[in-house]
Amino acid sequence: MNAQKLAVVLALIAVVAGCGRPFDVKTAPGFVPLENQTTYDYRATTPEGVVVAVRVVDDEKRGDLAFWTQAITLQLRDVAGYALLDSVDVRSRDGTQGKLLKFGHDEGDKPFAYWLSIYPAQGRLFLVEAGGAKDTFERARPSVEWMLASVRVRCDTIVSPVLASRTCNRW
Amino acid sequence: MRSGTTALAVPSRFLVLPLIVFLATLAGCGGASESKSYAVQSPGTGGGYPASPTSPRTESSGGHAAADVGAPQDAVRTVSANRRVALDGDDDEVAFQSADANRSAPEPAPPRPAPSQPQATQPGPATKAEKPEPAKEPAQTRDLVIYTARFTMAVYLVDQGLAAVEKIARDNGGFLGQKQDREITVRVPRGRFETTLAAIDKIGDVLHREIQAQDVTDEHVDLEIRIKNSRAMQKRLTELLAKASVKEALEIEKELHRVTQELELLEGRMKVLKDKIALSTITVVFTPRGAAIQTARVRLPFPWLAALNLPSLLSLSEDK
Repeated sequence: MNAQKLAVVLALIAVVAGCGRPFDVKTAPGFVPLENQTTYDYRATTPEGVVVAVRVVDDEKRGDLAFWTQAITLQLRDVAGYALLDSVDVRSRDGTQGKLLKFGHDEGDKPFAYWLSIYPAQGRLFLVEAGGAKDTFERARPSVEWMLASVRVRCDTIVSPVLASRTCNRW
Repeated sequence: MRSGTTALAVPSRFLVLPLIVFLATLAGCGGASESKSYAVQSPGTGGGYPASPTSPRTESSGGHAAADVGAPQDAVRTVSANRRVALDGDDDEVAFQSADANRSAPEPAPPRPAPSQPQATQPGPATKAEKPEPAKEPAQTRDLVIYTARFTMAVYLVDQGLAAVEKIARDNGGFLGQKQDREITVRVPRGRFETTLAAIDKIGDVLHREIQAQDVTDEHVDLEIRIKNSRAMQKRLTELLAKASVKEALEIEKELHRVTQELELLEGRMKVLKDKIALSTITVVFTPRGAAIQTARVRLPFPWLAALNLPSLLSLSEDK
C-alpha cells in the first residue's frame, strides 16, 4: 500500500516537474489541434488550411536570438526565395524576447503567408510557425495573432522555482 | 732630258688615277639616278590602277595587258587599304600629291582620275598608326557606356511584380523587352536608368542586384571609321564603274557588292550599339538565389533549418 502511494506521488511529481511539453500555446476557436505529430511538437489547423505549429529544437544553446534570426532569414530568403515582408521584435507571454519574421511566398501561382517566431530559451530553440494561402490567412489573422501571443516558453509551476523554468505542463 | 721625261711621266700617272675615279663616280651617279627613277616609277606601275584604254602602257605589251585584266580588283583592294587612312589626315594627301607628281612626270599622257592615283600609290601601314587619333578624340568626350541591371527578387506576388516592373518602365519612357513566367526585361532611356532602378527596388524583396556599365568607346570609334571608309570606298567604286570597260565593270560590280554588304553589316552593328547606349536594359527575375548561395556560402550544420518551409507546415498528413 505504501509502495503504491509512493508510486502515485512520484508519477505526479514527474508530470509536474517536466515530463510534459516545454512550452504552452492556446488553440484559438476555429482551429483544431492535430495529434501524432512527428516533425512538430504542436500543430493546429483551420478547415481552410491555415496552420499554426510549434517546433522545439532541443539542446540548441549555441546561438543567441540574433544568430538564429539571421540564419533563418538567409535560409528562407536567399536559399528558398521567400520574401521578407517584415521583422518585428516580440515577447512571449512569459516575457521571453523573440523575433517574428513575416514572409511571403508564391506556391505555384498562389501567394502564401508564412510567419515564423523565434524564441531561444531553456537551452532550446522554440520556433512558432504560422502559414496559409494569403487570402485565407488574412481572414484567420486575428486568431493566428492571438495564438502567437499565447505562446509561453518559460512556465510557472506550483512545484518549485527550479522546475518552473523547465516545463509548461497543462493543468 | 731624261730627267725631264721622268718629270713629265710621273704627273701623267698621277692624273690617270683621279681621272678613272672621276669617270667611275660619274658612272655610279648615273646608275644611282636610274635606279632612283625606277623606284619612283615602280609604285605607279605596280599600283594596279585600271589603265585607261588610251594608256600607252596597256597597249605596249601582252604581258601588261594580261596584268591589267586583273587590275581592277587589285586596285579596289589597294584603295580599300589606303582609303581608310586617306580619310583621316592631311599628311597623306600631301604624300599622295607628291607621289602623283613623281609618277606623272615621266608619263604625262595617260588621263587618270585625279583622286584615285594617290590612293593606289600610298603605302598603308605606315600612316595607319597615326590615323585613329583624330577620330578617337571627339568620341572619347562622349559618354559611350551601355548600362544594364539585373534584379533577383523573392518569389512572392510574381504576377503583380511583373506588371509593376512593366508599368514602371512605361512611366519612365521605356518599353517591354521580354516577359516570361518569372522574368521580365525592360528597356528604358539611359537618363531614366537610376530612377527606374529606384522604383523597381520598392516593388518587392530584392535578393540580389547587379548593375553593369560597359564602356564601348573603342567599338564605337572603330565602327565609325570603318563605316566612313566603306562609304568612301563605295562612292569611289561607283565612280570607277561609270568609267570602266565591260570586263572591268564586272569585277568592280563584284567588289561593289561586297563593299555594300560590308557597309550594311557595319551600319547594322552601329545601330545596335547606339540602341544599347541610348536604352538601358533592366531584367528582373523572381527566383531564389539558392544554387549560387549554396555553392558560395558555408552551409550551416543545422538540418532543421532546411525543414522550415510552407510545404512542410501545410502538409497535414503525417502520422506518428
